[in-house]
Amino acid sequence: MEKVQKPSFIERFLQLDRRIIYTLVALAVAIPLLFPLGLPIKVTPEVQSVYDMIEDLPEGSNILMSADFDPASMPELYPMMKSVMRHIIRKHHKLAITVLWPNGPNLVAQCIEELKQEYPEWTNTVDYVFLGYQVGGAIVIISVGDSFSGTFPKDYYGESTDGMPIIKEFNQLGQADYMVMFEAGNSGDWWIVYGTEVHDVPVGGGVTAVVAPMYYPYLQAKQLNGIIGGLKGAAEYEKLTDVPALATSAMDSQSMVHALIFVAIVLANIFALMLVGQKRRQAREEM
Amino acid sequence: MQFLRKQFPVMLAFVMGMAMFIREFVPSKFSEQLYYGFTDWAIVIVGFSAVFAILSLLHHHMNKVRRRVEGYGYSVITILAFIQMIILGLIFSVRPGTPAGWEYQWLFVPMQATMFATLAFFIASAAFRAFRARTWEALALLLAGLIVMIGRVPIGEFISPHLSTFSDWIMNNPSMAGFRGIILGVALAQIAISVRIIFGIERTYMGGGD
Amino acid sequence: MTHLGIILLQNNGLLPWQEAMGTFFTEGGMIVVGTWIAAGLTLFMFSFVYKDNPFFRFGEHLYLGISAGYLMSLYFFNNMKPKFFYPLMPFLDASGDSTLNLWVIIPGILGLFIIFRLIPGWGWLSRITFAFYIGGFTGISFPKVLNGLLLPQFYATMQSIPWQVNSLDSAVLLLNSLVLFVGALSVLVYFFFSMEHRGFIGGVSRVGIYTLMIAFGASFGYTIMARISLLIGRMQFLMFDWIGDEIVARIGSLFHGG
Repeated sequence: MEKVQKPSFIERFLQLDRRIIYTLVALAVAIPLLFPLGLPIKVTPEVQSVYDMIEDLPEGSNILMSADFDPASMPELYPMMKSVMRHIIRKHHKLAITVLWPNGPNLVAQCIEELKQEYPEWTNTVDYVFLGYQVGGAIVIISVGDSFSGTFPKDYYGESTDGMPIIKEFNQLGQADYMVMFEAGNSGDWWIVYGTEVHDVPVGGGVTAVVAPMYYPYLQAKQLNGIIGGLKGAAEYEKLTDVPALATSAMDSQSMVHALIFVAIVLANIFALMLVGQKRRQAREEM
Repeated sequence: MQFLRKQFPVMLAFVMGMAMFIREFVPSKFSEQLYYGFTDWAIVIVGFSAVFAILSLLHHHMNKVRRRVEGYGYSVITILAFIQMIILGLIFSVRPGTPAGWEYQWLFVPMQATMFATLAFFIASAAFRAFRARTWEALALLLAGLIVMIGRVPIGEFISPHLSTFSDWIMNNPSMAGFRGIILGVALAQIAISVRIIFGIERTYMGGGD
Repeated sequence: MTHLGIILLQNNGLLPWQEAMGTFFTEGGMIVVGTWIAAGLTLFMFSFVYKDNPFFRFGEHLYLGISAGYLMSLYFFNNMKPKFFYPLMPFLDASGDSTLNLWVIIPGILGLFIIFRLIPGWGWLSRITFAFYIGGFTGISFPKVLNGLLLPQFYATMQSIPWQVNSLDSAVLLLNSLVLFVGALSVLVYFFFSMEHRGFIGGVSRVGIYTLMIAFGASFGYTIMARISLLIGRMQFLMFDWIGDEIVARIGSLFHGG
């Protein structure tokens, strides 16, 4: 009768039940949220460039913001959008906001409401206009090159945009002194190709971590002036504006899970190599 | 009729494509009007196509209910959820502070966000099981992945500032070179496909439509 | 029916009954109800991690329905009304800002052609719309992609190389620029040369494969970051907004008589 060999520790480790991994991930997220470590956050030059641009523009400059994301990427992009908007309000810039993703406009509305609690003097139609969502993606971008009021005859709240005080001075993409786009996909490419390159408007990108590496070539080609990448980028911007919030408090959990996955991958590779060595030895012995 | 079905669309695509292409090089008031006139119309057309997409989804679920396909009860949930949402949405709009806005905030947002959040568990488990350096190419992938993963969060900086510097270097040089190649490739392909569409060689975008 | 249609078209969501609702949906009890429903649905969706189950499928289908209803209303308010119905019937716009523009009938008809795809035998009409839209957009995108994407990206690849090396910094810069130049070009060679990848071309495309692997590796590192961020977002909601504010604080207030 053939003897059934018990799996070695290495084999058992490599066959680890997925539920154990899931539990470890959940714990690595939850524990640092309850007991923060306060790891220092380093500001990268990509994020600093976006901050500097908004900081250095003369007061009352026109800034266009496009919030092209939905609840699926809200934990990453919402905190950074809020920090950037807060910075814009502090510098008294004029702000026009568009949305190219249909599931996004209510998130922007929520952000505006929250900021209005902090800055009650920030006035709709004078300091900012929330143009809302329009269907069409790249077509909308081309169209705002002509006019905001033509592309968005009604703002998010259903009011006519034509005749609004802010629209009298800021009614075209070309009139923007700077643009910040928050992107969870490739609509940022469209903004660059059909919008900012055509009208020569400097642009910075707040992007989800998934798409961040794809935006680096634009940064090097100076088609983007800076990148705020993922939740870490959001935490960096919170640090720059001196208002630590959701992103900052999430950084320790983020670090812990990354460390956990890092260790898991390294161990799995070392053990897999050892297993190969073991099997080779066994085969040699059997010969 | 055959002409309208087959030849006319190809001719129309050619005329529209050439008109929009040529106007780019003829700066004039008329050319501007043509450009923005087209985008204005296009926004209306895309609006209808968005409505079509939703109607097809409903059509699909209604068929499931009609044929009593297994699990059709779930399709009933979809249809009922749609009907109540559209009634509330059309009457009160979907802005925050309205019933539909409330549903968006407390039903739609948590469900969509959680759907994507579950991927965190799967990606962690998959990385542990499948991310192995079996070849030199896989080793390059693994090393870049590990360094960027750890070097981009505060713990990387805490372990060693060099980790973060090295991950910055990867992002700004070899990784960027790879994505630059992809962008150049995509741009070239886009230009090639534009020519094929304008000259009627590429027609698949028209779909079947019997 | 027609009357109902006119009321809906005139409605901009700011009708008196909406004002009557006041803060009912944004404050107090509805927030508590909302938080509990959101927490329940979050757990329903998370249950998929264990395995596919009726709770997840319920959530999934509810999500689809709500999403479709929401989008349809949004398209109506943001697109159909201001861009199609108001130019066609300006008297419906209560603000009086819309002007008559009968030209919108043409895109309206082209748009209807797309919806005709749902009617057997009429679907071919959508080809006319697609030809109009895709043809026109292609004509626009050709020069824009060339000027806004291909050329700037190409120039940036070539121009970054500093040809004079007189310090350590410039030597590093040269090295980095060569990594970019060789990497990007080798990826293109890997993509585009349909001939057999042998000899010189084979060597270059091999460099391309390694460059891509490093790019995908970096992308993987970032993808982990993204997915974990989303999980953190949901955990923050469950732990603080639901368990913290709703369960712990409420139970605590019962004991402290608050």
